[in-house]
Amino acid sequence: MTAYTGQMNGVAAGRPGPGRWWRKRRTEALLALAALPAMAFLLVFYLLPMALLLLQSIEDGSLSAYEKALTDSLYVGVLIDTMLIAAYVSIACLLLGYPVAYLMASAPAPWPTVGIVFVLLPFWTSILVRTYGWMVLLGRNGIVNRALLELGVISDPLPLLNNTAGVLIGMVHVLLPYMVFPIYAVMRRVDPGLIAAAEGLGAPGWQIFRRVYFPLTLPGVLAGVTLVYILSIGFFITPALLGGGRVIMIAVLIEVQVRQFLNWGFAGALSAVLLAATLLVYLLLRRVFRSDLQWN
Amino acid sequence: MELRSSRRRGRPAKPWLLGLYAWCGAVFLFLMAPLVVVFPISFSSSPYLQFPPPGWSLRWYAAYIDDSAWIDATIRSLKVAAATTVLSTVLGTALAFSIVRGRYWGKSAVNQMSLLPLIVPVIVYSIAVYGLFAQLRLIGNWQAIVLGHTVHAIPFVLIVVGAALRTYDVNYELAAMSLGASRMRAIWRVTLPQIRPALISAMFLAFISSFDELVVAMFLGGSNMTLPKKMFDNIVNAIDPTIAAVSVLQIVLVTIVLIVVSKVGTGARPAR
Amino acid sequence: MAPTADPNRPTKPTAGEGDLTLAGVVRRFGSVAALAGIDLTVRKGELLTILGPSGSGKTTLLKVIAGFESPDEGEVYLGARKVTSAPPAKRDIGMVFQNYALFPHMTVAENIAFPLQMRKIAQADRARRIDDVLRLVDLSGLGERLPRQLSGGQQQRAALARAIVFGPRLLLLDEPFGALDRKLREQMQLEVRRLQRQLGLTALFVTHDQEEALILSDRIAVMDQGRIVQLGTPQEIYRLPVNRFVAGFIGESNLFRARVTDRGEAALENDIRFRLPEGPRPDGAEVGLLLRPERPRLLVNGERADNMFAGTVVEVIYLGETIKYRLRLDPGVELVVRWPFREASQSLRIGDRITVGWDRSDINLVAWS
Repeated sequence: MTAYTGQMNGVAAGRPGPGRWWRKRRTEALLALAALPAMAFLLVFYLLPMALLLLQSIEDGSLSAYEKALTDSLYVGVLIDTMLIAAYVSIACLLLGYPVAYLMASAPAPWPTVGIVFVLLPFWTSILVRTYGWMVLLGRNGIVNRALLELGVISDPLPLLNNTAGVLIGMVHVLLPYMVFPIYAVMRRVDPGLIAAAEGLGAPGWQIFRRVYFPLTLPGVLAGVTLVYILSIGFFITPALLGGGRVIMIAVLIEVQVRQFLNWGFAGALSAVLLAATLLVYLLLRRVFRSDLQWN
Repeated sequence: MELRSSRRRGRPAKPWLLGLYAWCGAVFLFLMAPLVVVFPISFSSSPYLQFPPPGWSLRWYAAYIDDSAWIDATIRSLKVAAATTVLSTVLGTALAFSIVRGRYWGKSAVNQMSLLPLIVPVIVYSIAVYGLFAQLRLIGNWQAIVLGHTVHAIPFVLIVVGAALRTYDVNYELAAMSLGASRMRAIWRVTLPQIRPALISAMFLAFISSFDELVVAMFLGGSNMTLPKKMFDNIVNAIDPTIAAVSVLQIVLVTIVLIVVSKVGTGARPAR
Repeated sequence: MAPTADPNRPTKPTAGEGDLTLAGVVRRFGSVAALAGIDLTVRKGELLTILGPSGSGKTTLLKVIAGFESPDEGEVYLGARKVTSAPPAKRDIGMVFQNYALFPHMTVAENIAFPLQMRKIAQADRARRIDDVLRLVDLSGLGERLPRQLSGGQQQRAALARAIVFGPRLLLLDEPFGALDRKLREQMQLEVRRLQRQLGLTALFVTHDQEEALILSDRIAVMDQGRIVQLGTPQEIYRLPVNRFVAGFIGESNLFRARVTDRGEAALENDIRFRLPEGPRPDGAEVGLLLRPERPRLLVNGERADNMFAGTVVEVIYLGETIKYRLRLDPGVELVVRWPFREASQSLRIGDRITVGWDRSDINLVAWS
């Protein structure tokens, strides 16, 4: 291979000077620095407080708060209840949300837009507004009970408020969009050619669903379930308002410990347990299917 | 997919299809029910939660507007939300540039940390910051609430602006630079206008997330309440249906803003 | 006929001589050298094309010249000014991108005004210059349109207008015609050439399309694997390619691998002998014999030529003005020829037996490595 080599008259093309090294790195340095304000902000106003809280939970170097949180049957019960409720909510959201996502992804117009409106509008409405609405609906004298009584379906009003049932209904209502959107996003990308191929190969509808379509949508399902579960276990507002003081989820417990009992150490320990549970679930499910919480 | 194709071929709707529509219809009903229900209650003439209302009246709207406590709370919420929007958008956009374009050690960690507020339960953060701010005597200051809300708005801004930046063609910036603009000027005059829909979406998300936020505001606001806190107290104390009127106003406001924002569009367009 | 260009002929780029000078430019990415030592001078007012396949480094070279990349070694000069570390904005270069990069949120006129604003040119002046340049590229009256309201060819011209309106020292074009259909592409090639000549602009054109390079350029720099392999006029590159790579890249050709014997001949496989032209012949060396397809002639009526072979037609490809024939010569080697199409009666058909021949001087020796 021939090449033209030459030398600048009087100036050798030599080693780069320090100016050149800096100029090359300048853009990269600026980009890294651009993150600094946000990082500093998060460090001081986000991580710092929580670190302090966790420090407080280790009162005088002892883990007694943790012991109480993790061994006392009352508190362990709260933790288990929280996990169970979160599981029920996740399953309910899946059962309700999967068909809706499917409708939005596959039905002809105007259904996709209809679906988006119906899902987005409650999503953007204040949770307090929605909770209040549920209180109107679910009370003993509420609309649901009155309607059912009048239709003769039941003879006594159903206890739908101030108990677990009400909390479940309220939480599913809030979290349903978080299930629908990831599944919808994945369904949109399913190649219709695959379904057509399965049909062409003679598979009946149910088999196509079970063996071709559902597996293809699995990433979205898992993303949705993860999201809903993680959000559920930290829920405070809905159980506080719709539970009537009878549904003690761990977030409610934490608030009571701080507000009423000023029991910072214990509240810190409970928080740590909740945090640990949340992060554990997040990392576990993230490892399982490598998704993070960014959806369209 | 299947649904569309079978409709086109004129086959009669399969039974499971009808079931699907029915099921989804029920879900849509479920989703809208609480929203719809507050409308008639807000116009009820009775101070009790009666359904159907015995009469119609605008008294609860009047109660809201005339009550300085409600109005104060509303204004405070607006102030906090506006400040949160500005702060989180500035911090979050710079962060988005850094993460999408940058290549430096620890970038993944920066990304993960920025998304942390989405995962960590708000109650944990709320009591933590409450503890710290109480010692600094910052409870009751609306600025303190801004700080707590900004922390949670930054991930939204990062995700939305980050997505727009990723699909943005850097050649526009390079072209501007080749024409005589410095990198900063190129970003200001060429890139930002083009990701404007994403910026607006991000600002909208930040605003709503702050305006509707209860838990942090509950702990940091003290007796200087934000609107959600006042609504919360109202519900807990079951005072009167003023909250129904407030709810209706909120729903209407959100709908209007949603329509406006959707007109502005989303995302950036590719070069050409 | 001149032998192959002497690969050892040195050049000494001097700043100030040309409008753009590159001296010893090296750019590495990890262990790979995208640019392995580039020396180049683009003379004032000339259109020089950087020609090479993907991966040859031509895009990196363009970025270094424009200022989007900094070389690891070497210097870049615009005129007598060293610009190696200068940011793109300070280099006084106009650039047309592959996909035009017209700012979609600005009108055509605003796009063109942009570089003028950056240079703080007064409003009144700006308006006049914009009008002038729009007229120059034949886009008068379209200034208020948005880029997406223009056709592909119009967008091209708008991008060009934006790049030249501020009178840059150097015009860079990065494969700008790729997205256009053939007819439009040819039109635009001539347009750009005309404008460049008319304005006396120094221009650097980057492309992988050798036909484009041959049409447009005053000179061509052929790049391969980070180096400039040959630099010369289109005629020089076409007729006297320096090695197998250039020979294969430019134009269509017959390229035979052979060994030079000591009797003015070269021996191919099967011991087929070609008579070589006058001039230095590296005895015993392995070389490439380049024979352009239009050079052989059909020998009839006992005509003779230095190199003469009988053969059979195996393929006929009709190209409109010319016909390409693939021949199987009797000694066992294939030859492609391209002859102008005269009359249907003169066309050969598959299976026809013919005799072809060419002079010694029709053959070029190129380096085989």
